[in-house]
Amino acid sequence: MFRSRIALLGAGVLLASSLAACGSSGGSSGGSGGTYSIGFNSDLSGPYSLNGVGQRDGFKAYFDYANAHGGIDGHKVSVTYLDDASDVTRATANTTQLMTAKKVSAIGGYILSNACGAAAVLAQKNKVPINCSAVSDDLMNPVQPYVYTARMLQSNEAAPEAQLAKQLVKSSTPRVAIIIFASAASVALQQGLQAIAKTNGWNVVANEQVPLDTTDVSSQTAKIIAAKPDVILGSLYDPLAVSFVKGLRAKQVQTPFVDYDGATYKGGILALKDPAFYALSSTSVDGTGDGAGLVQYRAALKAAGVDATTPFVSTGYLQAWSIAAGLKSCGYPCDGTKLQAALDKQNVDTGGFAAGPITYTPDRHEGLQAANLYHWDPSTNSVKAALENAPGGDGSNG
Amino acid sequence: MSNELAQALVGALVLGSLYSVVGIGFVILYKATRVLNFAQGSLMLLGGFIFYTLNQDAGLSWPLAMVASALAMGVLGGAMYVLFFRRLVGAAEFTLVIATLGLSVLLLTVCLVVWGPGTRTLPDQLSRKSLISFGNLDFSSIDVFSIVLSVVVVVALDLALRHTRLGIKMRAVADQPLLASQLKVNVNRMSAIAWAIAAGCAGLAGIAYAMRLSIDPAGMTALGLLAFPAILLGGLDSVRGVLAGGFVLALAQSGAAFYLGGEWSNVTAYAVMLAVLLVRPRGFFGSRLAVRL
Repeated sequence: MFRSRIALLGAGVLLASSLAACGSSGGSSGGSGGTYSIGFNSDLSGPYSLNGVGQRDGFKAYFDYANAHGGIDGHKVSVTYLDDASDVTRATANTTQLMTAKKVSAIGGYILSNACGAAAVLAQKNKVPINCSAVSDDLMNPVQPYVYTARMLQSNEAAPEAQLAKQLVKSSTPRVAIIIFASAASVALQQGLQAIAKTNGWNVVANEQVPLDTTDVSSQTAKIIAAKPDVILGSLYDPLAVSFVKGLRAKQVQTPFVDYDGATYKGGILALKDPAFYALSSTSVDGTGDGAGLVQYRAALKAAGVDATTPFVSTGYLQAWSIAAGLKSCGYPCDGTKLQAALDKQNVDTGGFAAGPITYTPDRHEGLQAANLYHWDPSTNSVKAALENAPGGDGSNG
Repeated sequence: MSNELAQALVGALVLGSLYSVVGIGFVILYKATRVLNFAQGSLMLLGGFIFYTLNQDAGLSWPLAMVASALAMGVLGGAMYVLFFRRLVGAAEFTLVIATLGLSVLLLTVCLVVWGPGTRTLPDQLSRKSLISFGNLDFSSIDVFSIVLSVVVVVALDLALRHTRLGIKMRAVADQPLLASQLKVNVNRMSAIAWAIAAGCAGLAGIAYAMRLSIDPAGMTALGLLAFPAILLGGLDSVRGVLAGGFVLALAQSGAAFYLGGEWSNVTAYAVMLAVLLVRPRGFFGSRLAVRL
């Protein structure tokens, strides 16, 4: 009870400082009056809409809650939501519309890296920051001035996955299998895992790719079973991860599988309830916990009627939080150029909502640099962190 | 045969059976109405969601939920024809294809609004442990279900089209709609039934997919589209060819994934399709079409 009160108090402080209700204006604020305009573009009706809508709901929940509590230093935030249906042409048109007609200060969303890549050109041209959920490594290294991701890059998920593998397998030279979903970002993760395995002298006994539009992983499962690995690392999104793990268990193979952050609490961990299936996440998977950031997150989602376990809700919320914090430190009015300068100095305590603070520097536009790994705990019948705050890395530094 | 190759082969047979069930809907609809329906993947998704609701929320047993879902999908399919596609009779094939793409987006959005975001995974209704074996080919209950379902659906529809009055009327409408209508065959009713069968088959494929994997829009729409090369291989207007096309396509995909790596599976499948069509443009069992120039 005491911890809950402390957390509630903390949430109040966090709300006051991060959303900055009326009357507690930041130094550069122009005071109350005037509205910030920002945009959101994602897949709301196409093949990845079940993720895009969750992302939109999290984004909207943050700003609705902020507006209901006075906005950002007294300034409400107006958000325009557009649907690209996973079509790059529409993503480009939407981005142009938001930047030129709506004159937004920033845009969030972009569930697909190819949409982010197309929007990146416009972000640079119009000098408006975009915050992408999925982003290819070439936009982050070298860094593009107006392209950000609040999440951890998928390539940097290699180090946390490998760290958990070390914890799970006692052998110093484990037999490792890798299986990845063949997107550009996952191929970078695969390369990172291979680099770490090589550095550590691990034996990679199987290395499989699953095509983007596949529905069957039988061949890959068969080859991995035959290779007899001690641990399996990789990236399979929920349906494929569920099929893969069930395929392993049907053959009495109990090898742990450490999956990337595309596997979710509801569609992966809860669907399987398998203690040897681990899913990485840089943000809270179910919204539970005592941290002030989590209390605020639950309050915002409750007000919006959104379930915290819905996939990608936390991603949208994280993006919104990063943009809002940037607007607050930028003051009012804040155009894209001023916001970009503010974001490059961002360091926001997420109060337990994420694995560490959201930080950007002019050389690094990846907001989170650590991740947690979760699995199902049969003893408590709930999800549990197997590894917390594991630093990210793509294996390039050993 | 090694154990791992045997397991990959079983996976290919199951995948081929899914292609066949969704592909048969393509073929029936094309035979009866000349509509190439690119909404089959979205219809699969809708069937999966209806099944999920009946089984998980309403508590119906899975066989009952499956039958009820297939019937509901049939009714919806017929309604789609009556409400939308009947008004497009006589339109150019390109217009009809675009209309089915629009229908696909509409259905996807309806699913999103009704069932909300996120994938759904059903608890295992059938065991994934070995049920029967042929050498080292181990088939689980869920494998057997998928394969038997496809064979039953394809054989039943093939027999119905060839030997029942309804089937003969549908074929008459497909071959000579004007003549059929002059012989008092209700063309609209036959077309609505074809839509009902196509949607029912897509629903069954969605259920089989959901029981094995999850209710997943990206995966189901991808499978719905991959059924198209399967029916081109079998023959666009051949009911029996669907089985052959589905299994050949799945074997090509799984063989490539096994021997060359996953990144080669779809490339190989399309290469096989192109190679077959170069040699035999009407597919394995497609009917010969005489065009007078």
